[in-house]
Parts: sequence; C-alpha cells; structure tokens
Amino acid sequence: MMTFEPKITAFLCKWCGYAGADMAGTSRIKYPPTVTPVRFPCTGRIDLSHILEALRESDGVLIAGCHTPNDCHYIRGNYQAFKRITVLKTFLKQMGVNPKRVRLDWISASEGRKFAETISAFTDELRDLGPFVMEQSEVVQ
Amino acid sequence: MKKAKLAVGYGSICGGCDVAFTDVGTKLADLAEIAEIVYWPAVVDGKIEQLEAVKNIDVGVYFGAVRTDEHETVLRLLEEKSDVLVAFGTCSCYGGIPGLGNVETKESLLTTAYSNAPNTRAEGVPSLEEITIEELKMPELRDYTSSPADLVEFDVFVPGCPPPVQSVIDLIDFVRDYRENGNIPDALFLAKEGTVCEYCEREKPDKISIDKVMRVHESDLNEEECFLSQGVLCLGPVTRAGCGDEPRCTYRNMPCRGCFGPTPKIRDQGTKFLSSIASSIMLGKEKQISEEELMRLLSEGFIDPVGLFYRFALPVAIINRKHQEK
Ligand code: SF4
Ligand code: SF4
Ligand code: SF4
Repeated sequence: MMTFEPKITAFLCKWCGYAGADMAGTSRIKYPPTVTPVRFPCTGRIDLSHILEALRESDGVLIAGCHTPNDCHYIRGNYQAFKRITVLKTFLKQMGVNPKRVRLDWISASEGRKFAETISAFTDELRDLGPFVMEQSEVVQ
Repeated sequence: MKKAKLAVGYGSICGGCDVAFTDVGTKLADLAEIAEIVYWPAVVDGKIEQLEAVKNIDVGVYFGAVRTDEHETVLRLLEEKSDVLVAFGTCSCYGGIPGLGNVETKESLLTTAYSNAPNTRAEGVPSLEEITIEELKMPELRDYTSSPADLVEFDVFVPGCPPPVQSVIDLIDFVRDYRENGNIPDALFLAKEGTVCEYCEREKPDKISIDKVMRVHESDLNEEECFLSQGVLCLGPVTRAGCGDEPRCTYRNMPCRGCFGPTPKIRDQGTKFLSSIASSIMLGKEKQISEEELMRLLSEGFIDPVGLFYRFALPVAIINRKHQEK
C-alpha cells in the first residue's frame, strides 16, 4: 500500500529560515523530501492570502523566520507574522480546517538541525492528519 | 419607442433589495414609463412558469445568492433570455449575508433553526431533502451557498446590502440608456474603484496601533476620529466605495461592515483585512509583553473572524465553505 506523503510549502525568510535550510543542506543533515521552500524577504511580508493559496496545493504550510524578540532583520516582521497567523488559526478552526496545517517556527541561520527536525515533525503530524482537499463551492477565478 | 422588458428573479434573499427599489420613490414612475415588468414576484406576482414562458427579456435582474436548485434555475433562465444581466445587491455579487451559512453544514443550520434553537420545538428537521406535497415542491437546501457571479456572467454589478438609492437611480437611468441606445456595458460596477476610507472624513492617524479591540458599545466614540484608531474594527480599508460620498455608516457613527464587498485590487476581502488588522495589534509595542499575552489579546479581540471579516463575501473567499476535519 502506498503511504501518504504530505506536501509542505515552506515560506522561509531569507535571513533566518532560508539560511537555516541552507545550513541543513551544507551540513548534510537528512530530512524528508516533503518540502517546497519559497524564499521571502521577511516573514512579515507574508500575507495570509499567500498561505491560503499555498494550502490549495499542499497539505501544510510552514512559516519559518528569525527568533523573537530581537533577531528580525526588519526589527519586528516576525511579530507581524506571529500575530497574523494567530488570528488565521482561529479562522481556520471556524471553517473546519485543522489549524495544525499551518505551522510557525523560529529557526535561525545556524539552526540547520532544527530546520531538519521541524520538517520531520511536521511531516509526521501531517501524515496523521491526512491529505488536505480544499473544499470549494465553485471554482473561483 | 417600445418599452424595455424587465424581469427580476430571486435567489436566497432577505427582501431588502425589493425595499431598496421602492426607496427611490417617484423615480419608480420613470421606471414604469420606460420598462414593462414581465416578471418580478414582489411586484407583479410571478410564478416560475411565467418566467419560463417569456421569450426575450431586455434587462434581467437577479437578487440574492444561490442555495437551492430553484435559485439556480431562475438565474439560468434570466441568463438565457436577457440581453443585459444585472447582479443586484451584495448577495448576487458576492454571496452576501446568506453566504455566511457556509461556515456551517446544512444539517447543523437546519437542526439549529428547526429543533435546537430555544424558541423552536419542531421534532425532526424538514427540507434536508426535496419535499413534494401534491404539486407543491419544497426544494432541498444545497450543501453550500454560491455567489451567482461565480455561476453566470453578469454585465452590470450593483453591490450594497442593500444597494443605496443612488445606485437604483443609476440603474434606472442605465435601463433608459439601454432602451434608447442599446448600450450593453462590460462588467460595469455601479460603485467606485477606491475604498470607503477615501470618502470617509474621519481623522486618520499615520499609524494605527490597537491595544485592545473594542466593541462599539464599549467605547466612548469620538465622532471625528477614525474607528480603527479608537480600537473599533472598521472594514473601510478593504471595502469598495460607492455607498455615498459620505459613506452610509461611518457618517452615522457606525463602522463600515464591508457591505460593498472587496475593492477590485483585493482577491479576498476578509483575509486582506485579517492580515492588516492583526498586525495593528500592539503595533511597535509587541516586545513589551510576552508572546502568550500577545496571543491572548489576539484571541480575545477576534473571537469570530468569519462573522466579522467575511460577513458579505464568504462564498467568494479562498476558503469559502466548511471543512470537516478533526
Ligand atoms: S443584498 Fe442584502 S438587502 Fe439584498 S437580498 Fe441580500 S441580504 Fe437582503
Ligand atoms: S477605517 Fe473606517 S473610520 Fe477609519 S478612515 Fe476608514 S472608513 Fe473611516
Ligand atoms: S459604510 Fe460600509 S457597510 Fe456601510 S453602507 Fe458603506 S460599504 Fe456598506
């Protein structure tokens, strides 16, 4: 039987999350091939519609950026992401979507190991949840 | 000159759009002069057979959202027979208030309405299926509400819940123009391009930081100042203007609830607002409190994001109906 392999879209800030993924690569740390990274200038640039659009094509969305309180290159972009995603989760719950499908983590440029572990843990979590099919009333252009 | 044939058909409506029409007063007499009403249930008592029998319609107007097969039948009949098809009211343009039902399943909506609400005592829930008694048919509620604009192509959109008097006047003038010159517009919105904020004269600060989200009744509202800067949620920034040069609500000291739907540049009205308003919470002061405290402020401030941000346009949102995940 084919096991379900989740698809993760990862929005990574170029200063921390993305650099952390690079670090995982150059350090040859193994993690599951479930993730498609997208590089953002800052997690604060991520609009919630980016996340919802990504959910159309994936089973989960990871957002990773610089640690709070003081690591953000743009001072508090990470807090903007934190606040948006907190409210987004309330919205997802109301719409019957498991809020665990959206995950926010702080991963610094040196934390290659943490990046790999996060992907593994998220992959396991999504395997449990199963595939995400975005129910839509009509095909909205 | 021959009168233009006008038909008005219904989907899921509250009746407000009919009332909005009568609100134009004597201008209605102008409509009678230029148009022959061939179908309009509230005005000339129409049965669906009458609509089926009409050959050609010049201007077909649709009120309401689509929640049953019956609604879609009326919409399709209008589409097929009309030269010009008009989406009248926010329900017709974006799914509107009835579209909020998409936050529940049809089963839970019906059980609440018929048996669980404190003032109802019905046992069993009707209309989970189509019911036919003699020749009378009660259509089944569909699983979700659709925005008519997603199902057919409209030529004219008249947003507003309900549309303001000026829009009805403009629509009547448009019917006249169509009758005299045969002009058929292409996705014409009887609204403005910009946002409600552009027409609102309340004083806006450069930066908005909200320490606590306030309900209208909780705050001593300063009538000259922007609602958002007073912590009261106002959807002006993401809502299409057109409800008046003096926006209908903000000029009467009520925040905008978004009834004109999203501006042309916004894909999803609720998500856009959610993105921007969430970042205004404790803006610039985030580091003074813990992440837990910040999270508490956010969950207390936004108890019902769907009801607040998607009141009028849930069926056209990116996530537009209830999922059933654990
Ligand atoms: S647009 Fe508003 S007023 Fe018109 S039918 Fe819908 S809910 Fe009623
Ligand atoms: S947010 Fe509301 S109160 Fe503030 S300027 Fe915009 S419309 Fe006016
Ligand atoms: S202020 Fe907003 S809610 Fe009020 S009528 Fe205008 S668009 Fe609609």
